[in-house]
Amino acid sequence: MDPSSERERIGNTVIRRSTAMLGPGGWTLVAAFVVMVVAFGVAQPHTFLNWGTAKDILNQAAVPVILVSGLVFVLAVGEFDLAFTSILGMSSGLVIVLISEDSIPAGPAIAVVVAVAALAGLVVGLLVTLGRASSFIVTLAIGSALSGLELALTNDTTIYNNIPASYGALTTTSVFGLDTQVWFAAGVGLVCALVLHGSRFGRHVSAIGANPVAAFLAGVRVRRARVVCFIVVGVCASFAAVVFTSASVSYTPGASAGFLLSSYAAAFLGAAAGRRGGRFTVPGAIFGVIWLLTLETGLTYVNAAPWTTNVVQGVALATAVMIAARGKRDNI
Amino acid sequence: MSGVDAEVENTARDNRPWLSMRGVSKRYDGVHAIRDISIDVIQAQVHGIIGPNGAGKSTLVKIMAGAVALDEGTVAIHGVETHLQDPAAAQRHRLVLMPQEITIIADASLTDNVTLGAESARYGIRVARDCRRRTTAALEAVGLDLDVDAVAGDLSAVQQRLLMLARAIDRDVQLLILDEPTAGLGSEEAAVVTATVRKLSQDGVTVVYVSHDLSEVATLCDRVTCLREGQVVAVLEREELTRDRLIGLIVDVPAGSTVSPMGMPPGSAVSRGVARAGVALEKVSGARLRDIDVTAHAGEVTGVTGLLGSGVSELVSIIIGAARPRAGRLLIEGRPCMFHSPADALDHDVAYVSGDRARVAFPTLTIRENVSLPALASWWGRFGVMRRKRERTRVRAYLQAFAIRGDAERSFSSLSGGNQQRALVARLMAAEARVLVLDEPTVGVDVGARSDLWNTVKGLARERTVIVASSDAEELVALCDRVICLHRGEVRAVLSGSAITEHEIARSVA
Repeated sequence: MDPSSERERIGNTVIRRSTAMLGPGGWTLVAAFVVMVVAFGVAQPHTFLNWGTAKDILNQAAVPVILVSGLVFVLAVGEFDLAFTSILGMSSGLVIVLISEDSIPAGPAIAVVVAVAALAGLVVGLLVTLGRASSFIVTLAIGSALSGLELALTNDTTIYNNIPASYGALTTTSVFGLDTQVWFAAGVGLVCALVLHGSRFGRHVSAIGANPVAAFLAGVRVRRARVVCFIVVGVCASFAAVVFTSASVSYTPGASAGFLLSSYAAAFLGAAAGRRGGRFTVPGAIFGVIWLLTLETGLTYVNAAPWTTNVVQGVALATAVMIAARGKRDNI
Repeated sequence: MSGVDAEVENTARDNRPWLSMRGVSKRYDGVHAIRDISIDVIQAQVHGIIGPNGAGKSTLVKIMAGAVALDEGTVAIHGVETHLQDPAAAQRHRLVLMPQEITIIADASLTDNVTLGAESARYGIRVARDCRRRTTAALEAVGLDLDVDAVAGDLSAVQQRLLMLARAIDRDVQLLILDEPTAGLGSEEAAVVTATVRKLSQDGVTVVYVSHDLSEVATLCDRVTCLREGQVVAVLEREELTRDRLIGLIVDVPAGSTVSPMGMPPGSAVSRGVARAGVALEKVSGARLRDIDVTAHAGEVTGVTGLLGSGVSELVSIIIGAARPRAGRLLIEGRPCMFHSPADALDHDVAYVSGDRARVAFPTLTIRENVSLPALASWWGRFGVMRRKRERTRVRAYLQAFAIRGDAERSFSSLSGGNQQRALVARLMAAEARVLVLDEPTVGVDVGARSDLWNTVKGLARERTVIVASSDAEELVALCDRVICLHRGEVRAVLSGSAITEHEIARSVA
């Protein structure tokens, strides 16, 4: 190896070490985050820049953080999932119907919902792996079926009667200055991060995502890992449903659909920010959630028109996908 | 045309070249793939092209067919200098290259496959009757008696090859270039293909026939050009063609002189007297394999070799759990095993690595992650929670053993090809399995690194069973204690000790 390239390599290593978590895309995103906080702060110094706004953003982040923590598994294993918001909606309807109409205590109701969601994830996983069908279409189809079930359960009506206050208190009690839903979301994110980035299973997942044939030949049980990923996303969606319905102490029809695009936007923003471009990580996706929510909240504080949120999400997703893809190409 | 010229032409008619090349060279990145090749392909003859791997056979036929541009030299068709800029131009000159892979459309009918891209049409609308008529004629020419509306995917492998020939016939082909047309076929099936080729040649089609199967070449061809290292080393005429003569041309080392470049001589394990069966296949049959019995002993390096499609890759797939035999048993250290996946095989201490990096490497993951993947089960703590430090230390140790310097956190794709290959062998060591299967382990590795790898592999064999599938005779000679030679799904020879020479291997596989 000639000296100049050796020097370059050492230089690169130093830079990499000092920026353990972030790639070039990450620095851009962090810089953009700082710029936008400062800009909103200058525009609305009294209302935006205070602890209340931060708490508000964190509370809003609880449900999406739980969702993306699961979604990242499916993306990391190289599949797509368009059904998880339907699992969220179906689980929301089911848990509230069980509590409100069947007067079942919250504990057993939550257990039932988590089990049903895990089963839904299992079905999706089996259809994708055994059926060898495209996960894109299979999850689209299952998502439609689950939305139908949700409709059948709830008759498309808002439900807020006969829900004990204790159910709402599950997520909105303040502990160490933050609501329990924030702590719970942080816990789910932490466990998912540990499993995906710190366990044998997680390593198998990223190996499959990088080269499924090579993973199979190296002795990874590819089908099993794929199915488990779909179960993980299902279970996370049911956790999110509990937090979602508990925080509002009600069920609102059609409220789940809005999480689909924003979850993908967050996961891809996280992948774009990562040190090795294009790899999906739990911390990255959580960063993406906070990034997007801060932007959205800021926009409402400066009284931007409601349509700006959609535009911002779409632009962010498209940009993130392109940054992530560029990182991947560099690696080939 | 003057009378004298006409007379000259008359006398030359019997061996007038359909195509001739003069001084043709082609370089890739400054390295000559072929250099200064001149060749005459005589009308209505079958012209064989043989040579060891990397001799430039593929480059040569691709230039003939216009698929690759030449750097120097000229190509003449019927004595007229012609520039073929692409395969479509070649087809307009009635010249067709039939690739090794079967390129039929499985879901379409025979008619659609034969007339593909040249359908009979009137005002842009397909004339089905005419397409069928042409297909019937083309199928008849290649000796296929099948319904023209049958679905191509239902045909056997040999019928699919003949279908490809029929497509070429339909285009009124005059020069047909066949690249390994019998690879992967059994003996009887291969005979059907060669008989068809012979018939086409009698019908006036000129054929260029590239093959590794030297007995086939010796019986089929009218003339044979032998290439080695991009140059023509011999041109043999019909009466000189014998299999032994051809083998002598392929093997650049004279018969009898064994090369053992490094360290311990082959056969050392046998002399130690350990002959426990590490891996045994009993009466195993599969897609290619026919009722074979082979054994790889613990403490030895067992080579498996054969031409493309002879069953070597299926044998490897069965041992590593990627394919299941149709019949027969697999025994690992005497115990019968039935692997459903490579993961099963790894649980039974069988680990695998291949020189085909697209199949085994994770370019976007780090070097560390690439090395440690199959080792994770034995290294990691309880509940599958990773012990990062332990993983790092061990990976570093394995990389150092292979002299791969630098940061293991770089992406795998940042390594050079040779270093990637060494890192993959490091992965195999890290797996700590008792049976190691290496498939073409030194493809694309430079000479010095090859010897290093060979020594490492020999060292690994001291306590393990090592199986090396390779088409590289030099590698087998340097590495193996025993070489199993497959030919069309059957074991043709098992060489051991001093019988392992490049010449003997070439004799046994071709």
